Amino acid sequence: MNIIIETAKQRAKRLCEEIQRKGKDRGLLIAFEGPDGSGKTTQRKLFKDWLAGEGYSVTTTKWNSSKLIKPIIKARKNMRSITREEFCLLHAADFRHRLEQEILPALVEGKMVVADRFLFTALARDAARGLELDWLLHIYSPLYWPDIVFYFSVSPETSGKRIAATRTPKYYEAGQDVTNIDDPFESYRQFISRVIQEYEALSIIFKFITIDAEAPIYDQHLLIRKLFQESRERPWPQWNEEAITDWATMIPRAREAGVGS
Amino acid sequence: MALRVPTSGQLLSLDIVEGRDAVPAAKELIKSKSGHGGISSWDASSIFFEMNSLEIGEKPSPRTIVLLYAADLFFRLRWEIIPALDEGKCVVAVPYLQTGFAFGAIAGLPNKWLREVFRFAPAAHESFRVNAAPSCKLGVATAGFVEFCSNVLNQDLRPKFAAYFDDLERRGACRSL
Repeated sequence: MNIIIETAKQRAKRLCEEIQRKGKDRGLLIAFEGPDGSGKTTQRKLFKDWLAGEGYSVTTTKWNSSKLIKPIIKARKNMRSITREEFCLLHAADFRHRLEQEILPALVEGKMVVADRFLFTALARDAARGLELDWLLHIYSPLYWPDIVFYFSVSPETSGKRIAATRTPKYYEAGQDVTNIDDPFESYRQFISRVIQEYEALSIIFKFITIDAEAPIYDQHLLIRKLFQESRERPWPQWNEEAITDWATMIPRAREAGVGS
Repeated sequence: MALRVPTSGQLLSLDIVEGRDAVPAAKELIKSKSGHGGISSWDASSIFFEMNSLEIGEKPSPRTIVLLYAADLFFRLRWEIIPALDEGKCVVAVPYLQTGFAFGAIAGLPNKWLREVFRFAPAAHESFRVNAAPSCKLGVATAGFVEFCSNVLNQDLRPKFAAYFDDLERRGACRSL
């Protein structure tokens, strides 16, 4: 067993050195964050198309989308049978799986990864459900920070109006599991206010780039392009080393034993 | 963060290396205690069963498995363990926390992270393990947690789990059944 650990550590070190050597050639992770109805998916699509047009190889990753865990979460959401803690743990599992299987491999290959929601979605929603931020940060650790986080800032009223114009909010989306309010629209109004409060706090702590999501769509898009171009080249951030090493250590070991092979 | 733990009832943890031992050993433990009580078994939430049925070729990493084990354990506490304790019953949780810690240790995950993940779970009043020679053939992935992990990592992890529980027993943290 000691021999395997040593080999995995050496492999992790080699991979990290290789990643460092790649420097500016690595892909960037760009996260689009914000409450429902903030228009981030529209902006994500516009940005992805623009990046592809500029010649970049682009991968998109969406929240709660892993082939392995999404069906499990979906079934439980449909039954309205999960608590906030199970909600958190299952989404964390989905996130970890996508990070290890999709996001990090794509970045190492030099692809641009555009994330429609990232870690901060979990932090904002789960904290709004009353879970401790400290516990959440542990659940999601080792943390992998995006290179750029675009935060689409919108008022609870605008978010509510935009959602109500197209559909009835779903049970968990409306936070009915924690508000205990029967009317999904009223529950959504109350819950999204809490979520936005959490997002606003996170945007200060983690230095998001805030986009006024009530501005015209094309103006937002041009601003995103400009901000991206200004921050194109940067080394692999030191604060991501733990996450990269963990991934490199665990996944090769798992691959030796058949995981992901 | 920790769940509310009823002051009534008795929570007994029982860690095993083979799923087939779970129910007979838990019954024996209950019999040796109060004579009546309940059993809370692995994958009561059926997360692992459903994932195993997907047949999509992707396998979860050890860290992902621990998060799923924690989700299942939370489900068991909410639906099985705490309600039974509330009624003053004796509950055997088979497996319980130490199995999660054992897998984490085997996979090389940091102990601090494991402690945080399982922060919600109350400590058992007493801890036991089944100390029996493993059968020749490893069970199918859905037979038990050890079998599931062995299947995912493509190696028989029963000796490693057994060694972890041996160490716990040496340190007085559990007793052989």
